[in-house]
Amino acid sequence: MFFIGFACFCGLLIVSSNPEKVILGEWKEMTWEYEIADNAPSQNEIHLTDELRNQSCKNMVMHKAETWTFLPDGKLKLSTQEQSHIVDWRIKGRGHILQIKYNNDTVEHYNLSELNGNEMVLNFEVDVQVRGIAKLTFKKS
Amino acid sequence: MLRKYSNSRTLEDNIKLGALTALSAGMVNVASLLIFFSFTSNVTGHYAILAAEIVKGNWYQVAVVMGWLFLFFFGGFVANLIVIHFNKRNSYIAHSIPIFLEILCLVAVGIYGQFFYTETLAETEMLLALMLFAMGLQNGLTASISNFAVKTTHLTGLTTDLGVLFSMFTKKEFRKNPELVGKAKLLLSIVSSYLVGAVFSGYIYLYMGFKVFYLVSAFLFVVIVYDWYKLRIARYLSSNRRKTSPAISLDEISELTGIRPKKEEEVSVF
Repeated sequence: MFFIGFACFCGLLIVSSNPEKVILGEWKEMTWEYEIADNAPSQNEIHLTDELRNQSCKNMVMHKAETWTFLPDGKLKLSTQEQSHIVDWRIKGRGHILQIKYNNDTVEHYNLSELNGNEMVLNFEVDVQVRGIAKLTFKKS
Repeated sequence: MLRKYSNSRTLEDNIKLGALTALSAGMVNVASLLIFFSFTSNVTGHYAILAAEIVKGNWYQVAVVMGWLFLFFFGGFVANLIVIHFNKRNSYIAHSIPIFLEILCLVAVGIYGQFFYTETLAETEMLLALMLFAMGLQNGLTASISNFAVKTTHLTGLTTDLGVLFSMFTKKEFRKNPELVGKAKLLLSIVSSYLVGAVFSGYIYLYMGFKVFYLVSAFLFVVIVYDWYKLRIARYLSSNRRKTSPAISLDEISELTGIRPKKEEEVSVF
């Protein structure tokens, strides 16, 4: 029985993909949404204007970067048309938490709701003004 | 705390063991959540996560969580295996080995985390696996030697038992039952110790980081040393008594050692 269990375990590891490898590469931010919000008119997803997004997240690091490039050495390049900068990334837990650490020691944690070869969905809790769960969707370039 | 086995254990033995091990379980659980974003002794949660990841088709996470669950199971397996195979030779040694193994696991996590951890996913999962094995050892040992009266990381069952007990206490006949009252005291002491350990760990982790695991190991070391110290006292007393009188009473021996020798046997203490 132990052997069967061990074989299943090895088989799962072989057929599955390590999130640290899947995330590598260039990802383009597609949408920024609230999945659930206390003050939302309905419980459906709502799209935020840039102004409302900035107001809601004024105490957080605002990702105005449109392209995220995950490099193999634990570095993440956040770039827009005007500029880019490098931060550190790590995956935590069972592969469901993305940690981003900035040079000023600010640390962000996102829930990696979905990660496959084409799409990455990040969730994080926003607790300012409009309390809710924000959702960032990326497509692989 | 560790010497006695099953029905020869008193309520006081179980409370001491339960409180100290629950304290360490609470500390480890919160430290692992803060450092690795995953619980180590929340096995119910891990089963739910396993189901959720199967539904989502995240096979890597499924494999990881299955591995963690297996290691918790294996910890309990190893703990009881040691107890049942070595108990007759020396109950203290048989009951101490799982705690000693647990200390080794936690110290290994502390050392690796402090000096070698580069925060890769593989390292995170291996360290969590080691901690789950340690918690399995602890839960398996406490359950085994206390005849399942003490399970320090099984708070779901504990809270259920407390609910049942308190509903029973609405009747006077149950309120006056010393066994039920004792059980309530035991469960409340485990819950309180777990919470104290968890809150304490949450605070000191900010200052100590991975060194918090050394502190947990120190608490567990107290569990081992406590009985060893009592055994040394017993040996000292018995050797002193032999100089003045050839034998000590059977009641005194059973009190000191937890062993009940037959009356017709010639008795000797260690």
